[in-house]
Amino acid sequence: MSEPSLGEFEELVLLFVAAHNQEAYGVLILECLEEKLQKKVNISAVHVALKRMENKGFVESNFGGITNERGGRRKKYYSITSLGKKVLDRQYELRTSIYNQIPKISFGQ
Amino acid sequence: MKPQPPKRALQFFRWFCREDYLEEIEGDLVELFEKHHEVSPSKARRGFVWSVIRYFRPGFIKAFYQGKNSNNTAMLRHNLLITFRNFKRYKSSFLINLIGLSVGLLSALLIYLWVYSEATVDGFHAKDEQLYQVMRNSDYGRGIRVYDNNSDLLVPALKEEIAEVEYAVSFVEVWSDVYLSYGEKKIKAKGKLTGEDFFKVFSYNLVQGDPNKALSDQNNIVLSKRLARSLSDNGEVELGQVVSILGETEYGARYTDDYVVTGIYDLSEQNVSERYDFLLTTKQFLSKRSPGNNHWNSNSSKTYITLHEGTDVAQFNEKLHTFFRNKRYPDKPDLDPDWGEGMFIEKFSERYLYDRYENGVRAGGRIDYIILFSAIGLMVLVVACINFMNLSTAQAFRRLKEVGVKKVVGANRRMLAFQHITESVILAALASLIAVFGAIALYPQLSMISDREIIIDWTPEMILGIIGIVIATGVIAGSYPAFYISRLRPIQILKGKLKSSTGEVVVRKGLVVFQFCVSLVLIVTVIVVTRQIEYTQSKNLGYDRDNVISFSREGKLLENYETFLNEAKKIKGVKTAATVQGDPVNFRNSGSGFFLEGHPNPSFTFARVGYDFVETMGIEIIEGRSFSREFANEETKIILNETALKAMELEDPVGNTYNIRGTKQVIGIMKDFHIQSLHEEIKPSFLIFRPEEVNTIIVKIQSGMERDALTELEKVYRSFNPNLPFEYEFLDQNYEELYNAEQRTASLYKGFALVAIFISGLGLLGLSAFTVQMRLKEIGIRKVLGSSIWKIIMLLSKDLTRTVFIALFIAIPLGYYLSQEWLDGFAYRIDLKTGIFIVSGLMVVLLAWAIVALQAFRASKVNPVECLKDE
Repeated sequence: MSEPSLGEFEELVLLFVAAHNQEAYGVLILECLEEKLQKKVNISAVHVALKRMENKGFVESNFGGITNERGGRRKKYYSITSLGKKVLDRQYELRTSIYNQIPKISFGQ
Repeated sequence: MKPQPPKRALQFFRWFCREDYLEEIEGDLVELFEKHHEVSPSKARRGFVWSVIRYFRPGFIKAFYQGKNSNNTAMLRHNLLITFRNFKRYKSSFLINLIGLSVGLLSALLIYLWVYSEATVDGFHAKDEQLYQVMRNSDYGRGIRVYDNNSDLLVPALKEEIAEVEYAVSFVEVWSDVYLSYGEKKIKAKGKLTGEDFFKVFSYNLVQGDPNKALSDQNNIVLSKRLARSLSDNGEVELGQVVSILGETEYGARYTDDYVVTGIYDLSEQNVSERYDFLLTTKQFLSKRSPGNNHWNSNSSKTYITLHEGTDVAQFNEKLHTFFRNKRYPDKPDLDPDWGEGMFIEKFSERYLYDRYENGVRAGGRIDYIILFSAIGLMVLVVACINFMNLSTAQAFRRLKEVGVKKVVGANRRMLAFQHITESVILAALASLIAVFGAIALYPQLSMISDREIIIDWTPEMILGIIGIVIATGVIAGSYPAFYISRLRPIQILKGKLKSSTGEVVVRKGLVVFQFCVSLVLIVTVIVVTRQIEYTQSKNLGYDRDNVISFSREGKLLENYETFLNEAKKIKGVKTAATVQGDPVNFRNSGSGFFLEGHPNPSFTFARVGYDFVETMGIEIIEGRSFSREFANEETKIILNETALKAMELEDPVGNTYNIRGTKQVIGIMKDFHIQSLHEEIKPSFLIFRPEEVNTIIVKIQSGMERDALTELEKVYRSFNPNLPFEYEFLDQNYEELYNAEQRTASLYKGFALVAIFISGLGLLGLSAFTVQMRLKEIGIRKVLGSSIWKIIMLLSKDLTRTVFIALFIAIPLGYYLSQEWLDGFAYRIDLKTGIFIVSGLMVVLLAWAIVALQAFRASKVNPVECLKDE
């Protein structure tokens, strides 16, 4: 079985999950994304990506405690799995190795 | 207060989102909403709705049709177990429910079988669509009358002159039974005379013989299988053998001859309106009849035709009418076309159901009974269903805790409904099993209601009908309780604080009211029907029918009946003896005859009689005399009744001579008497003296001496006819036969009314038992506080009394209307007195009270300790 793939948007979400390990939840990820990307993202997109990656085994989740926020609804915190980290690493290596092959290109300034 | 996200969107989201995602996503959505709300509330709301919509995608929608239970069979077994435990635990409720429903269903099924059989009578002929009977109507300015008999000249003329007619056949009665003999055997049988085309027109089952030739020769006879069997000692009379008709009866004498058997038919499997034992040919009939009767105004036969396919009936009717009038009134081309006789056709298979005409228009007949009984069947079934619903919902209260616990544990509405539907279906299935077997066992008795043998074709449609009735009953009766119970809320149930909404109470009360209405209407109509029948039996008819016997003039009596009469009169206990043609309690001859200038010309009903008829029947002569041996030439004399005098506007006619079937002198006036059933008004009628044409002997016997007189009479009869049985009938029995239809209807009607009342009573019993049980604690407390037994009974009956009175209020006018409709069919009828309604009302009220009071009484006797010690 080939390793599950990782989409571009998924990769971004996974990066944020890794960045805020154990603390990442829907709204937090959404806000980070919007800040970095400088564009509107719908919360549903984040959830779709999270659920998919959970199915693929890249992230895992657990409920936080009940607080007075959000009408008593619990948050679900995501953390990256070792598989997720491996995929992320490989992706990073792949990219950097290919990036390093780029010769100095002059655009004739 | 925090801002609330859009309610509808949230509801929608909660409805579709899968449960394991719900909390997380909802939380995120709300958090976002709250954050956005601080910036722009409207934008936040829009965003929220939009996001919710975005979630409406495959990965997030829950599975609506998931088979959550993998243990379906286990649940089913559990349901069944609980069902049977409940049946066992509440035996009385179970039995009441089962009996009520099965009796109701049984009645409905029996009625269905009967209705189906009646509705398909004569419908089996292959040419059913083309098969018609030719009818005749007459209009002499006093309303149109319809007859089913025609001239013998019609069949040959139709075949020859009207192209649309494919086959035509006539059907003549052999008016009385005749004796058939084969070898040593001698059997009395009923026959008909018919034409060659008979087996082409009708699809009667000719088991032996050639349908084209069976009735072609004058001396042919076709026997029914039954007769063929009973005539022969071993096996059956076979084709080609010779059977004789003996001249022992008046009509037998006419047909005395040897006949060759050319066919054997078997009607035992066919649903026919009329059965007869043998068929002769019309050729035989015509050859024996005086040729003087061979004209277009002599109507002795019924005529059946088949039309070629695609013939337009309306056009054909017009053509037939003109054709007939040209034959009937050949010399009067300028006659008013509406005056006199005309002709039309009716579909043969519809004749059985629609045999009554009013002023020339089809006005029902047996179809009325079919509708009546279908309505009763439906009513009984509805009452039974209502019962079932009421009892099941009431009973369900006992099981509220079970439902509550199940709901808490997680049973959803669908599962609960399913459980209760299973229960209803099992009960309904048990009931229908009982009903179906009962119906199969009882349906031969159905012939009681009908004057013919009931034959049921077990066709697929018919069986589908039965299955339909059973399933519909199960679903209707079972669905309401099931849905009612499963709708209940667990918290309320477990708290024990169940309040029925007013709507439910109204529905349940309404159902009880409806039940009582049906019962009441049935009781009222049953009383009216019974009273009217008693009335017809006891009404002074103008003649004395008690202790008068009649028998037919057969054998040697054909030659010298005068000697017999003289012998008979000598017997001790015999008052008088006389002769008459036809049935003395129902004059069938009719005709017009007076052609008197300046006087109206009514239609008469008359009888041909011998000496002493008036005396034997006890008819009062108010003026003049009756036929007597002391005068000569009595054949030229006539006796009229009062109505005839009035109708003809004659004054003091005794001694005068008129032209009535020849010149006749009026010798007497009879006081009016009922010459026919009480359905008919007294008609103008007369008696004429025809001692040679009489076929019935009537003997008046002194009351108290019947047995001796009859034994002696039989001896005298035997000395004349040693080989013939002495079969006599009492006139009052003959008279009762005029009301056969009513009698049968009445007895059946009573039966079904009883069933309906029985079921309603059962329902009430169940309901009241339940109410009492529910209020047992209340009763206990009341008793402890000093309430008397009577007060408790009153308390428990109060509710019911109101219900019954509402039912009374609705049912009495309805019953009055329906009874009046039925009574309108009688020319002489009872008045609808308030007594009838009071009696029926009282009956129902008393019945209801008795049932409830009994339950209440039992409850009130309970020791308060018993019912208060728990909890």
